[in-house]
Amino acid sequence: MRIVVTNSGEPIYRQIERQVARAVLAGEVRDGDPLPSIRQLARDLRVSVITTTRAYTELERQGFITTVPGKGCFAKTPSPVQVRDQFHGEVEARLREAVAAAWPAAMPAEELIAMLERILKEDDHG
Amino acid sequence: MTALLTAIGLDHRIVRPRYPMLVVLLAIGVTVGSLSGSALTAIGLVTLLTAPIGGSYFAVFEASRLDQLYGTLPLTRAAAEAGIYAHTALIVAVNGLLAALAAGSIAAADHRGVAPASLAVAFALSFLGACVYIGLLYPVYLAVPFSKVNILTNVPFYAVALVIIFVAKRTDWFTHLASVAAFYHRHPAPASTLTLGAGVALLVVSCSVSHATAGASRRR
Amino acid sequence: MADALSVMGLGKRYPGFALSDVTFRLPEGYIMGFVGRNGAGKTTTIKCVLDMLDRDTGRVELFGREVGRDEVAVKQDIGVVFDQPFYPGTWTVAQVGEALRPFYTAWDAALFHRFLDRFALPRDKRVRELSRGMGMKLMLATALSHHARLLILDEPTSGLDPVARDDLLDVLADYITGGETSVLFSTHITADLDRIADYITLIDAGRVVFTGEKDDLADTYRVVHGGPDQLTDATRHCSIGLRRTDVGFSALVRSAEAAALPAGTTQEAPTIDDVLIHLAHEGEGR
Repeated sequence: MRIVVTNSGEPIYRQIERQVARAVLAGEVRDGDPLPSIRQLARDLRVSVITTTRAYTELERQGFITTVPGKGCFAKTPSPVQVRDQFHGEVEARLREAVAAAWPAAMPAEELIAMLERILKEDDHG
Repeated sequence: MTALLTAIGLDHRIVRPRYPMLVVLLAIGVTVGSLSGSALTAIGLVTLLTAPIGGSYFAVFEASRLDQLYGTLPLTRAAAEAGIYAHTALIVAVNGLLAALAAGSIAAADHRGVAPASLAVAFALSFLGACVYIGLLYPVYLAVPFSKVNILTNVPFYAVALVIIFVAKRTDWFTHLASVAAFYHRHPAPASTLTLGAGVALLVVSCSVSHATAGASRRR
Repeated sequence: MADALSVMGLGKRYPGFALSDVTFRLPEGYIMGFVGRNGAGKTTTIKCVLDMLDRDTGRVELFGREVGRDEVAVKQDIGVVFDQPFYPGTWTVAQVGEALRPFYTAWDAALFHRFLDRFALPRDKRVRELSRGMGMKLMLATALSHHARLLILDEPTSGLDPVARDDLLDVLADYITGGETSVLFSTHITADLDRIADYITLIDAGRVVFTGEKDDLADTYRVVHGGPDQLTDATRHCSIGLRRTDVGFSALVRSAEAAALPAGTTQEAPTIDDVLIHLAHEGEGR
């Protein structure tokens, strides 16, 4: 599993969440595969333990990992309903962010929607 | 007790680079003693002058920021202070005894034999003198950084000592101590032991004073 | 969760400077960055924690035990690194290990030598001959060689090149991995901490201005930039450490108040440096 963390401005715990979720959904990590422990991951990525803890807590809540006390963290393939709900929620949150970002720029709604359609045409989301 | 020994061990490692000076001092002292025909002078010189070499501990302490070292070590302040006193007393005693042995042997070889009793008394009195030095100056060194007081303490100390010796020779002061001298002459063994004990007692009192006053300096 | 270090209401007066009501907690198993500019009181606080200075008020606990006059047993579990080696200059690297060994019940000579190898410290090099980076690594080696549960570092990276700083962070990241060890890292070079610290305590002019999870710091404040037109009285009122130029302004603003700012301002999450600088400017008066 590949996790890369950058100083891009997106919170690090969010980057970790995204990449682990993606790895699980893409089948790179299979159901039951062991994952690096919270501390091991913190050490490997050179980030704080609280950051990786936060990422793993959220991933567990979303159903992508399980923690077995005394044994560690393991990948878990969530149900399709869980996946859809989870990404649904994320997309909505991102859209809300975009709307909030547009507000100080005083962008009218039509312009925002036009921008969204343009991006959808550009992005070959496969 | 283990803490004290560990503290002394540390002081030994700190002062060790100056040990060659102890050997030089021993050589000079014994040479002067044999040239002047007085083994007792040799003992006095070596014992008294070893004390400030022990005191070079404080110069290293300040230059190398050893307050930080002691701050991190699991060693109580009391043990650290007692260790410094004990270490200096030990090297004074060792160097003084070596001087007594060397000077005594040289005198004997020279057919100017000195009685062991005289050697012992000389050593005891010199040791007491060294303890006076340590007892007066170490509370100052433990309370104040060495570089700030060095000029004020060492130089006056020796100046005062020289003045006392000078005055004593001039005014024949020792005759007033005739009864004391006689006591030493008649009972050298108990007198020496008492003298050594007085020296150690002086160190203990001084160490307690240091403990109390150096505590005040931690408010800095 | 047990605390490795707990400082409560620590106070100490000097003529011209005072630590007041310094309070923070470092839970076991985490790294705390102790941040402030030069003269803010970081070293004084650390010296009080180590009982090198008498405190006027307050309480300090290490692993739940109060730090007091003769409480030295707790120092078996603490390793300390200051900014320069605190050993006699004549000692060799090997002699440092030999000198410290009798003091620690858990001294691990093999571990010490492994660290010396890892840091490429020649055994027979004298302390006074060590470069700054090597001096720091020597202190680190001794601090880590008696299985200390808490590592305290006071400005260990001042004067170090980026490679040496990176080496240090590498060692700290390893040290923390077990979960039973903790680190208090005081510095004014905040880049070291931006990723690896779990907790941050910010100190300025002897007072704690923030203590808590590092992520909370980024959540609590926003750095706001805007043009001269957006510098309304309301904006000025909630600005911390306002900096004005002819072409605009920047300020630190509490997140709660940031929402009410005029349109046209940009906001971003602050780095530790941003918070430190703006709070310091605020303290000096606008």
